[in-house]
Amino acid sequence: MKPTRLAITSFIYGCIGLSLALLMMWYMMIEDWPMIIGGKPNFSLLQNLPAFIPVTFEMTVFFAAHLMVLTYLIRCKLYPGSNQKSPDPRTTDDMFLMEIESHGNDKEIVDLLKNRSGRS
Amino acid sequence: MHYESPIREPLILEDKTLHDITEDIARPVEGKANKWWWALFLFSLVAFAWGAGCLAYTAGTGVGVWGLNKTVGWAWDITNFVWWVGIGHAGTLISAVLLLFRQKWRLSINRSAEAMTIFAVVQAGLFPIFHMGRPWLAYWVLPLPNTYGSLWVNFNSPLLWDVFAISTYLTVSLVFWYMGLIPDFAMIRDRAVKPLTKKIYSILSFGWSGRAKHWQRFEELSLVLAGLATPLVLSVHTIVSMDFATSVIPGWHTTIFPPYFVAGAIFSGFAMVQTLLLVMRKVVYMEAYITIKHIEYMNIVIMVTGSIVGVAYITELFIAWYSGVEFEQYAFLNRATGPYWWAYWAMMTCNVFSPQFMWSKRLRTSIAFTFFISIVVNIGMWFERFVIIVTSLHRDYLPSSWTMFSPTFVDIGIFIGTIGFFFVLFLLYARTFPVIAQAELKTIVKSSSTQSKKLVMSKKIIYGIYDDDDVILQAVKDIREKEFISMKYILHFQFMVLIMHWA
Repeated sequence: MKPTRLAITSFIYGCIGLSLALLMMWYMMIEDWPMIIGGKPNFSLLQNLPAFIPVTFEMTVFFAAHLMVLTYLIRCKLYPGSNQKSPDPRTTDDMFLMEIESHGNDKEIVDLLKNRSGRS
Repeated sequence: MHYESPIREPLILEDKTLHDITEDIARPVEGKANKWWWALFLFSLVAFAWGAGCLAYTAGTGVGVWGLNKTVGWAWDITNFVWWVGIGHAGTLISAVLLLFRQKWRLSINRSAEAMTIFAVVQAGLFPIFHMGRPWLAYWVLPLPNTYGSLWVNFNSPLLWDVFAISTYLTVSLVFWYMGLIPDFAMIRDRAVKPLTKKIYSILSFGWSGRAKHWQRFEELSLVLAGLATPLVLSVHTIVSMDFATSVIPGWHTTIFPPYFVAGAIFSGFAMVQTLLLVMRKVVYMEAYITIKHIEYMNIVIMVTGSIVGVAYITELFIAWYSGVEFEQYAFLNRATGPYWWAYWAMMTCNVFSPQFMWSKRLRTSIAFTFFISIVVNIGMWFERFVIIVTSLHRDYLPSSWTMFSPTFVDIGIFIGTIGFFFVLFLLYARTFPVIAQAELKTIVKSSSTQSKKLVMSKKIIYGIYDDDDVILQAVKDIREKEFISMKYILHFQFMVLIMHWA
């Protein structure tokens, strides 16, 4: 099975969250309405950065986690009301199931499968 | 498959098969609630109703109905907030940090611990919202454009950091929990007989079909979410501690706060997990999955984090003296010997002294003793927050404004109400959700259950020695046809034999 690229998408989403957080705080605190609070620097993002780290971190995690979960749900077509279901209810209990596509050679495949210790 | 030493104690008892696990975990959902459940549920519901009444009274009349005064502007509300957030930390620690460390014992307890996290954070969130006085304007803490010109929220303030930290923590914990629940809801869906139940669990399970590709993505998702949740959980209590540490109040203004709060949070969280699980394993019959070994492991965590908290208390005292700052020195002298001395010594006894009993193997494997200590630790950690908050505030820089704090019935009512609300949510969860992550738990049946251990322990080597290569190959063929369990053999020959046609 090909490895999934879900983790890479999460990294990208995290980068988006980080950039958005910095952009938001730069606009609100530096550009649009700078306020002097306790004499802290209010005219440059770089100088005000230490105070912005916690929110930047939280937003990075927020974006990386939630958008990755959404990607996962979309890729697996999982959503409330989805009409997919287990091919056999026993697969969620104690059985393992293999789906095989056949093209008129059903008997051969069945014979091959019967020769195992499991059930078919 | 991962190798596990047979000496390591099993995590699933009573020779459970995969099917038994399904049955045991579906039983509380499919069956009827017993008397104990109803008794606890009604009791919690009454407490919740009282708390809801007190909250309505606060919102209708104003924060003046609390016991706060000019000097002590923060008391039970913030104490309860920090207490509940701290309790939440154990759930994420179990599900995320122990996943990264590949600890198998997390599997029977992670679901309930995460549920506890979410329900605890919900309680925590109520306090700051109602302390705002006008809870319907709580959205003002968000960075939204508003009608007063573009007057934004203050991103330099730790209180705003807290808004971001708590909301990220709550929502990320919620999706982490829910993603794990999907395959287990599918299990209940596939067993459901009544059409309504089937419908409900079909919706909840999002159409899970258990394809290998979906499981592969699920594994990756869990791992990355665990990787994100680990620094997140540490950041949340760090930021909570900064609410205090960035102020200039003696007793609050210390750099030790972040690690000290995080250790305290894990400590109190594990105590609450013990309180809940010791009851739950009895009420819904999960003794085979939540074993004495699980309880012992959690007691060890309580012992270690309790000791870290103890070291932090002593460090604080030492630094107060060593700093030479008389305000700092007085704050700590006042804590230990002032009018709130009883709170300080209750904290010291419950948090530093009591977990040390866990060094004894006999005590940490005793269920009754564990339950007792878990309650003691919960009380102790509440007092810790009370001591930090109230005793630091009640004697400020101006002796003329020194005062005491006493809670009103509303303060007490809201606190008891959140405990009721928490238990209402947890009890409903225990009856409608699969309380153990069964799909994940089934992965360790082959390595960590009693029967797997027996199989490994019963291993013996039998030698069959023959003087003809054809005879030994015939013997192998006979053994193969018999289909013994766990049949493995290694052939040793004195010269090369063509045995390809056997394989």
